[in-house]
Amino acid sequence: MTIETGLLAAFAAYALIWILLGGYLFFIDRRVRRLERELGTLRRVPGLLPDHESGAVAKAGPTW
Amino acid sequence: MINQSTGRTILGILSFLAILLALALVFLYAPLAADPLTGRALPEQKIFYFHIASAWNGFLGFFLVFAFSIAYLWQRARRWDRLATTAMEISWLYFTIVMVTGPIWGRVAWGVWWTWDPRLTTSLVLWLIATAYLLTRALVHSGERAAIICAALGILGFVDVPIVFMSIHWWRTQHPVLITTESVGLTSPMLVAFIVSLFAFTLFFFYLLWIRASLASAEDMVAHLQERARERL
Repeated sequence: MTIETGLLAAFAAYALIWILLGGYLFFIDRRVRRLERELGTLRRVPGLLPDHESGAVAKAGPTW
Repeated sequence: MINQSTGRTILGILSFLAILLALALVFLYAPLAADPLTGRALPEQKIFYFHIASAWNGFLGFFLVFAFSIAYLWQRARRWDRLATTAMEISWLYFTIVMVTGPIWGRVAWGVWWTWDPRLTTSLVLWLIATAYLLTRALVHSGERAAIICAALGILGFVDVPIVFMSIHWWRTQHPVLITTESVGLTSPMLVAFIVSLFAFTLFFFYLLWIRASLASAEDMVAHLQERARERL
């Protein structure tokens, strides 16, 4: 194996690391956007989110 | 008082800076390793810095899953299950990095992508346990049932962590053993680059854990609100 092969392997490994980590951040971002869309829909339901600023959403609690 | 959002941003910036510093140290400061027999330069050794850092964080993730799973089974509070799932997701991500970078190094150093070495095999088993956990989470629709199954899987899966860690001492292996209780097979600049890489990846681990846990919590709240909305309609 030459030095070039070793360096190429090292750079390929680093590129793959950042593709994986970047991909995960992209996945999180997509879920945040979907959540924002769902919240937008919920805001149109009358009386469901009466006082968003007071933390009514935060106090709502989990499903189970 | 710093709110959660500012805290997350600060941690994100800090981990980004730490990763940049680690990259600079690995590629510009740490010297190339040399073969002790032939003296030939080994540039592929640069993979080691983030390969080990990822493995360490994968183990850390499994430990957190273990602790959160016990807390969930003890208290049956949804937040423990949420945290365990989040930690497993990130642990799986880091272990995937280990499983990808290891064979790249192996192809250059050993001439093969994969061999059924004890360290490699036990690591693959751990990665498969993490995959099974996440698949269970995705495929079992009853929330509480999935949480119990995953908590059991998280606790049992953690048993493999010490086996992976000790495999290079317990069995004959061709996996390199650089760090032992007696010595560290690294020169001082290499050790500095390694410690900074380890720190940077750990910081990034906690950043990912924080943003993913916040997202999971927000998803639960929205699901709850959707249920209430359906009751009203």
